[in-house]
Amino acid sequence: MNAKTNEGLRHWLEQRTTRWRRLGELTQKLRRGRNHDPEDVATVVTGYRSLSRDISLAQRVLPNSRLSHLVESLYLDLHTLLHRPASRPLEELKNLLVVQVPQIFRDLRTPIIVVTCLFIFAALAGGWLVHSYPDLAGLFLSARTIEEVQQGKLWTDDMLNIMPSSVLALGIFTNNAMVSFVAFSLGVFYGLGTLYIIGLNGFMLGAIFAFTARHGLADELFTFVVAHGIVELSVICVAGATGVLLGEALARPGDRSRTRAFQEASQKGLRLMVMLVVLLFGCGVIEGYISPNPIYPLSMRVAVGVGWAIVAWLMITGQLWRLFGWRSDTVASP
Amino acid sequence: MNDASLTTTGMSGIDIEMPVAGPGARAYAFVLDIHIRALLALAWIFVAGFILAGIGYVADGVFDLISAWGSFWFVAFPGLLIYLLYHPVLEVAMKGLTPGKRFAGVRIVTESGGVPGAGPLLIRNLFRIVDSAPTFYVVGFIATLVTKRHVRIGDIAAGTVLVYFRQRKQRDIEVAEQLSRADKVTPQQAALIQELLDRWKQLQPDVRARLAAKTFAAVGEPLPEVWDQDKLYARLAHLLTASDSG
Repeated sequence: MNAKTNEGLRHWLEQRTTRWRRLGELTQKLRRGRNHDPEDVATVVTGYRSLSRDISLAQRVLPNSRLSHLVESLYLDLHTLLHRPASRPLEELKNLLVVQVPQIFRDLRTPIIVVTCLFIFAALAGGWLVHSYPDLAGLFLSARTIEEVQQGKLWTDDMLNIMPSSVLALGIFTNNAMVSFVAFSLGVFYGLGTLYIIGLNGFMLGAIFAFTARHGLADELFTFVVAHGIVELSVICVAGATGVLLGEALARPGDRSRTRAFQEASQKGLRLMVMLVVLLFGCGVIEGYISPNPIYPLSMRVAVGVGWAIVAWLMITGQLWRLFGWRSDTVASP
Repeated sequence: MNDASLTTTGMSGIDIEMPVAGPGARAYAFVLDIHIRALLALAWIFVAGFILAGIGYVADGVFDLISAWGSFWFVAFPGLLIYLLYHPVLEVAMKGLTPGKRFAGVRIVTESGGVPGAGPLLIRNLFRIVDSAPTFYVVGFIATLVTKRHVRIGDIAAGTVLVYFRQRKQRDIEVAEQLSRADKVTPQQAALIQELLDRWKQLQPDVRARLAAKTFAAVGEPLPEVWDQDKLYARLAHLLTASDSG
């Protein structure tokens, strides 16, 4: 390389370093806040274009040097900044609640019916098994709980003496949310993991009801469950359906690649899970404050259970938000 | 050897390659994060516990706050939240980074090299349930070993990749400015000298002397008579200054 070229290179560097410094500062500034100076934005757009030329030169004359890394990193930062989608959280939330969640829920109709049937079948099987072989209750209940039930006492009777409603509600919510997350994510094993979790939960429910029925406590257990159970069990079935969706995407991706199908199913699943978590939070509050409290009569518990189920239905189908006049301008296909 | 990379193409058609982080870098970042989150949670529990105990001592059991359930809500629950929500919250807030990832020099990007949104970041965290199974992230680790881009199942689901990134520093611009001023050597030679000076403290004295001798020979400078380390450094640094600065 001759002296003239080196001099040209030095001159280029001298000119550019001031611009790069300025672009670096502007990148930091534009990352924060919302109301940007149009002049700053115009500088960044022009700078982004000129950086592409700088990169080719830097990569040619000083490859793998600190300088080429500097220009590349600046270019990447500007690229990310300029390609960043517009942030409209409220609009996105409305779109999620009014358009996407109801659409995904509708699309999942068949898997929801299949999973619900599996849950009911497993519950009947569990009930029949424990009814026929009561000793098998030991598989699902602790020795202490079995002893209490045999003495005519439900484990739910003293719940509020053991812990306050707030802690109870939180614990129950966390547990139910975990079951739903597990039911969803285990769909990655071609849906088999989800079917196992749903089957197991149904089986346990049936078995526990059968065992309490043998000791004349099924009515009491029903009284405990009815206020929160309708929505809680439905949510677990819907979460199972999202897991089945994952499994189906992997087993039958259609004309998409298997990875793409899996990613789309995961995105759909997550959107629905957001709503399911909200519903489970409501169930946790009911199960912590109403279900274990003996002051509430059965009629009121049924009313709460049915009422919460109606609200949940209106929420998941998007009708509740439309009642508030929420509309989404953005039509997103989930 | 991990030579996988992710290419981002800008509007002007320029390709930028980002080296993909392998299982080692991922594990390093994770180990750092798990310690940070555990320490943060413990720190909260200790500090909140001491505050609560202090109030209890002063108020002599007057406040309900000191009751067992008050302790749960004020001490244990926030500690648990810090531990459990560390990854999802920080990854969203820091746009694909956590303190551990930053320290390890890796970050999460989308398959096109962009900053992932909250949705993909939450998906990759939700799938930790599968990746962490049956214990110690065995599924996730195996996935990073067998996949081309060394991703775990959560990353496949979210469409994200962990890449190495180099944080831009103030020093980088200063170095570029120095290159433009150094007229005793060519910009290429100046870049090499800068790199040698940057690594100076990490090199053994004999390696320093050898590299310095090569550099002096390349730029046509006479070799020093005394191989004093500090003087060598000063002579090399002098090559990066402008002629009129002496």
